[in-house]
Amino acid sequence: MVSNTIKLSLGSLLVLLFFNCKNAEKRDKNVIKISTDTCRYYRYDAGQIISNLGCKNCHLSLNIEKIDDRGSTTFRGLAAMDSLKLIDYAFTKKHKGWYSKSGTLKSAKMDTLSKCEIKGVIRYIKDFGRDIPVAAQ
Amino acid sequence: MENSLINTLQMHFALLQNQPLTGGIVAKNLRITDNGSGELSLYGDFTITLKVLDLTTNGAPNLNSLMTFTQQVISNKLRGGGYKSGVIIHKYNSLQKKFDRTKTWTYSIRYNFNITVNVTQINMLSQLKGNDFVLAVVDSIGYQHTDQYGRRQSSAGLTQGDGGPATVSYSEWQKNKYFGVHEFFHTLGLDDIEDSSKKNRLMYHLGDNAGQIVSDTERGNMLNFLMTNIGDITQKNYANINLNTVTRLRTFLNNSTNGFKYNKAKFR
Ligand SMILES: [Zn+2]
Repeated sequence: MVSNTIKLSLGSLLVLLFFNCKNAEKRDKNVIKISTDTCRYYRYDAGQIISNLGCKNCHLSLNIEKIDDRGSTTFRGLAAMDSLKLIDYAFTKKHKGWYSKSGTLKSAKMDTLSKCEIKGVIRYIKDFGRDIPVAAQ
Repeated sequence: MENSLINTLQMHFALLQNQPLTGGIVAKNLRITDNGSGELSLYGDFTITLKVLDLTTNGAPNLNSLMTFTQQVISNKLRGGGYKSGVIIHKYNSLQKKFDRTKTWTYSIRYNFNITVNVTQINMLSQLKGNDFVLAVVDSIGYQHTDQYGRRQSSAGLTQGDGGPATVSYSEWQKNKYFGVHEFFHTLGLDDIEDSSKKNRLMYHLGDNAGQIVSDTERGNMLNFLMTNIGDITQKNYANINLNTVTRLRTFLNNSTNGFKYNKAKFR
């Protein structure tokens, strides 16, 4: 358990460092808004990012199965995945390169997400599987 | 996977037999047009049904008027169509009238849906089907959460999110008639707002809420949710897939973390 957590954190760190280096130039211009120390999770903001990227258009959130009848991974299926695998597939490899600067889906601007935003997106996805109830007032 | 397959088969069977489709989302006369330069327009007549299950211990004498109010607000908030840009989906082939699963494309989508909303009371669990939307009315909810400002907040309603069962505390619902709509809009995929500059929004869920605005983006997201799998638009008629509603409601109500108080004799 402990070693898993360490592996996970080290892994995330490596992945995110790689991500950060690649986008360092762009980021400097915008001035880093949030440092890692002050990275806080706002469910709503993470949901907005997911909505803007359109994740749920392919990874359907209504479905109760992990894979839908078209063979695509549902949002629930994503939630059941390992965080590291999610980061790796979604952000590092950018869905086989579809979301890279020269990819077919480059307009989705996945490259502009900060480390903190990526962390938030992953947590939002993981929370979906845990069925954390949404509280009103 | 099997469930959605069975559900799809059942739906086709119902259509063949000329039986009426049932479920939370039933759509007829579906149609799609492609303007050839990246804009799709979707058309259809939708019926959205929310089933209200009264699980209160002492009954809910004002339930009818709360349900009527909820029906009116949902209708109003979903009215007027919607627009979403930058939607990445499979490429639509207008000649073959189907989505090409080997290609993806970025579209702008116009939603031109006529939406009829039903909010109906059910008295028995047998009236609840696997692909229905449900709002269970309970005595109280013990669940507390910490908001982004670090304050503890109690709950007037709880919902499992996208397609999931919704609940509302009867006494709280009487204090704020909009709680039923707020909870149901979680079922339609909207998230809570805690940003203090957005207190006038329906989805702002802290105690100092001061309005019921639903933004164009939120409406667009709900209309997008009604046609979750855009490929379904190429069928003439459609009903949403199995959501395991009865089992999920039971699990949700029995989860002690949520602290529901309700008349268990009404939910067997
Ligand atoms: Zn809420």
